Amino acid sequence: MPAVTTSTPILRLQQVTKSYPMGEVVVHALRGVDFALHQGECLVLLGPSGSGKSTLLNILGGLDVPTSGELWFQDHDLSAASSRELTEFRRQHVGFVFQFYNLIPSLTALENVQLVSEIAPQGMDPREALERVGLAERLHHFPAQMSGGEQQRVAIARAIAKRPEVLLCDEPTGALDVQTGRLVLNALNEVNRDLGTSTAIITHNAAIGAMADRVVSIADGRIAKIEENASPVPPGSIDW
Amino acid sequence: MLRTLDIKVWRELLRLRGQVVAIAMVIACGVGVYLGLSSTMHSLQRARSSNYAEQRFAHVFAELERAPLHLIPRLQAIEGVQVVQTRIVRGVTLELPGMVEAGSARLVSIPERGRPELNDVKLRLGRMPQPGHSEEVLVSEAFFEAHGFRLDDELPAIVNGSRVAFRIVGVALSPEFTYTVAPGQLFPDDRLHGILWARRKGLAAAFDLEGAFNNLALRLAPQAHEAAVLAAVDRILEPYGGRGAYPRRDQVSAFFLENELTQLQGFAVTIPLLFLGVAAFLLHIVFQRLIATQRSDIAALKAFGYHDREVGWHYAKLVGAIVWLGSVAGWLLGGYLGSAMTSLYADYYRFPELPFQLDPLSPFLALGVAGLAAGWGTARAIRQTVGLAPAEAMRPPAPLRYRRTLLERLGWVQKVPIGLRTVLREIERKPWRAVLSVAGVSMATALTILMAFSADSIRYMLQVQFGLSQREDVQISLLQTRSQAVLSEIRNLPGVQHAEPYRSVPVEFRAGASVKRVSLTGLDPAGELLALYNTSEERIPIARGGLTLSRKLAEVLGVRPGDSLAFRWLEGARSTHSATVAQIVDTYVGLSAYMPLDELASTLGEPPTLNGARLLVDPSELASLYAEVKATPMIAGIAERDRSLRLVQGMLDENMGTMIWISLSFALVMAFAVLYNTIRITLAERSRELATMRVLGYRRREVSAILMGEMGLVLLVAIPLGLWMGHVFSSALVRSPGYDTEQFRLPFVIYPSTYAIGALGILASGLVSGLGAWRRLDRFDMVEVLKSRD
Ligand SMILES: Nc1ncnc2c1ncn2[C@@H]1O[C@H](COP(=O)(O)OP(=O)(O)O)[C@@H](O)[C@H]1O
Ligand SMILES: [Mg+2]
Repeated sequence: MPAVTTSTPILRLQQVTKSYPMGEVVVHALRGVDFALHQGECLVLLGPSGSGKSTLLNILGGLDVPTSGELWFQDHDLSAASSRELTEFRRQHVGFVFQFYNLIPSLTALENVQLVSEIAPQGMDPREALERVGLAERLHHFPAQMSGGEQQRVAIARAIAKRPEVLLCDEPTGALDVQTGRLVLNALNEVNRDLGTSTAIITHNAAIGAMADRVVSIADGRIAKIEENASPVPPGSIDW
Repeated sequence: MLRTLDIKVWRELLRLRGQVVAIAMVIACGVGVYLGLSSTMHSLQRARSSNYAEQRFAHVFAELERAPLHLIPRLQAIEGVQVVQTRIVRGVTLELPGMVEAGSARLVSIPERGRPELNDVKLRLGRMPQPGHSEEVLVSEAFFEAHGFRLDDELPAIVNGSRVAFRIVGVALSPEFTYTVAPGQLFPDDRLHGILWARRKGLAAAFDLEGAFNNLALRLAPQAHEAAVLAAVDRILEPYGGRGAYPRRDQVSAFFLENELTQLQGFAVTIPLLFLGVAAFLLHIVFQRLIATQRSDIAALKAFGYHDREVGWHYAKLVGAIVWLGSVAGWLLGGYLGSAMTSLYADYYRFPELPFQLDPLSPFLALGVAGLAAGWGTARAIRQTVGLAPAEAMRPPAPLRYRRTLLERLGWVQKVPIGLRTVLREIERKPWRAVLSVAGVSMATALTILMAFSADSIRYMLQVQFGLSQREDVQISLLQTRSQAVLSEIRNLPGVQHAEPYRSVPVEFRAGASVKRVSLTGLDPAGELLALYNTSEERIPIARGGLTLSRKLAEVLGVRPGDSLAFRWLEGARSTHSATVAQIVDTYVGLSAYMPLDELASTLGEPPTLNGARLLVDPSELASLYAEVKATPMIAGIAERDRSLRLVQGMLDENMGTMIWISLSFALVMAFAVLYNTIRITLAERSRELATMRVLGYRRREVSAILMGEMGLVLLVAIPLGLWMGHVFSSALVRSPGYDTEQFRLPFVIYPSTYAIGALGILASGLVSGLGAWRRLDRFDMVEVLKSRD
């Protein structure tokens, strides 16, 4: 089933700024960003370290709130949402994948996924989620018994188990070698393709942009450039 | 270089302030309780020893009917006897101005001239009575104060049946009456009972004891053989109605004081150790965690060239600072507690001076023990830092190994909710921590019971004693033994609705090697006003055909129902008899023995007689009864049941209440510290997981449930366990020497309300510690936590 990529925005930022007052000086992490994640697309956010990628992603996912500007999810204005409302937003609509996996060490792979499916009414069967990322054989292993790539795939299974509209990944391959990184990106790619989950992947590695429908470059808290990619390639053929 | 490390010590203290304060509070409680109790003991002991020495408190006492003074050389000749003091001591009834009740006093002779050679009085006010002035008396200070008397006030009394007006010329204290209770009572009633001292000649005349004495006190040489002296005194006084010589430790006032010190000592040792043990455990947890999170700091320090010793010393300083903080707070607390308790004791134990005194070594002893406990708790963690190789410390610690819990592996628990599963697996990975947390909280729970149960026991005792057992309104005692005919006279007193006679005689029981002098009371078996009970609250009527003994007396004598027991009458014919032990009853005060009144009379070979009666009285005529009693010479004393009840109840409410709240708050501090640390450590160790769960969309309530889960489990196990431990400890305490004495015993009673207060208190301290952590959860920065690698 081919992915349906549209240009309907599912998440939208309008004139978003984020600044951190640090004593005397103010650090401007985002300096007025207009940006949209489209329904069903696979998007790569590129940019050097410190350019504001994570800040942007965290605001998109309702983990953080902008200093000014607007955040829209479909036609819901989340700009002034309370922390309780943001929790509900994440609970129902957003999946996260992080650089360091963030699995619960005392839970097995299956249980880590169940952690999410327990609170998601229309979630998928945790076994199915793990099967999707190729871990059907590792259901009862604890994180400490798995490799980094396996752990990251458990994290992806956990993120998709609630069937989120949006999947946000912050440097998912940052701690992995090339080989394993490809496996992980493959898993993300399949999710995007098969489930139609709108996916944003942060990386500072330009080569990865080849798998995306669009590549957004960030520099110094601003969107520097947006490139459409008419023919994305499967991650298996990307080298970095 | 070291300066920077010292700054780190301060930073660390500040960063961990919640836990530091909690642990310091536990140390402060331990040190404070120790200092408070030990300084109270020290103050009492110092006051006692100087008072006993200065007032020449006797070593041996004996009461007798009447002996001629020419026995003195024979008493003096007993080996080991240094000083012989003969006195006249008698009870008198007082007509207290403005009081309906009849008071009583012990009238004690002082030599006609000069001061007593033993048991000297300490003059507090006024002057000594003048020789030849038989109306002049000294009165005991508490009694004087309770009535607001002034010097030269008159004190009407009935002495040996005739009315006498004493005049107060001075106020005094004596080591013999540091603790002043009326005979057979446990608690002082300073309005109703006092001590009067008068010159001897007048007393001798009043009591027909010229050239004679009825009370003996001896001072012994340091190397004297006490038992031999007691036996020799008994032999000499035997023909003169001797009631048996006894050593200082059995003297009522000395006994109560010593017993109080024994009780204090027990608590002064055990309670502080409990607190310091808990502090050691808390320090252990906190330092294990601290050092686990600072592995890379430690490695960096070592890589910069710090010696192992310096790094170890750095963490030792941190421990030292906490101990110091706790100990200084404990010193202040202990000083406050000690001086408050000492002044409380001053109301019950009357010393010329009872200054609050601190044994100068004890603060340092407390600090030292607290330091040892802390060192014991943290030694492992500090050794680990010292042993850490710089390179190894740079690597992250080995990943945590988890497995399914035993319950899950055994398949007993199929469907544990995921959150609870993580809690259980954490506990199984560090079982000792959970076990010790449970131990700490259950100890605290047990402590709430242990500290509060004695009030329940005393309340229960009052209920049995005054609610069930003593059913009379008033009890009167006669000056002399009278024939049954006098009963009709008593029944004719105003307001008397019902009267039951009793006869009590001093006897000496002898069973094998055990000898015990007590009074044997003859009761009307059909009587209703004194009901005897066993511990199961079953009423036991006086048995025909033998003796009814109180359990403690039977224990002391080593006899059981069915045994035959020999006794000697210590009055009149001084004849020896024997009777079967028919049954055992439980009483809480003194040693008692009962027999049917007629059986007692026929055993002694007398017609039925009485020397006291229990009465039911129309309350509206109580005042006229008192007035009549005061005017009736044959009645020696009258005691109202409700007054005794009110007195003890008042004492309970006033002092026990405060003590219980103070100790309850100590126990709660302990529980709070353990629980707060449990939750803070969980928060620290699992903050990454909890943040992750928040990111995944878990609500704050759901996440805090996991955070509280471990504490909840600890409470779930610790509270029932602690209540049970409290039950066990308390029942052991009532059987310990300070609580199970011949003079009094405590029944073992814990009311449900005491359990409830303990459990609720502990729950509340859990709630408070949970709230503290919950506030942190609120400020918890998900983004920040996710950035770090663990
Ligand atoms: N909590 C914070 N406090 C202060 N400054 C921050 C905070 N988070 C991020 N920054 C700053 O904001 C800028 C952007 O950070 P970030 O979004 O993490 O960049 P990236 O993910 O692209 O490396 C950086 O300069 C960083 O130092
Ligand atoms: Mg980043």
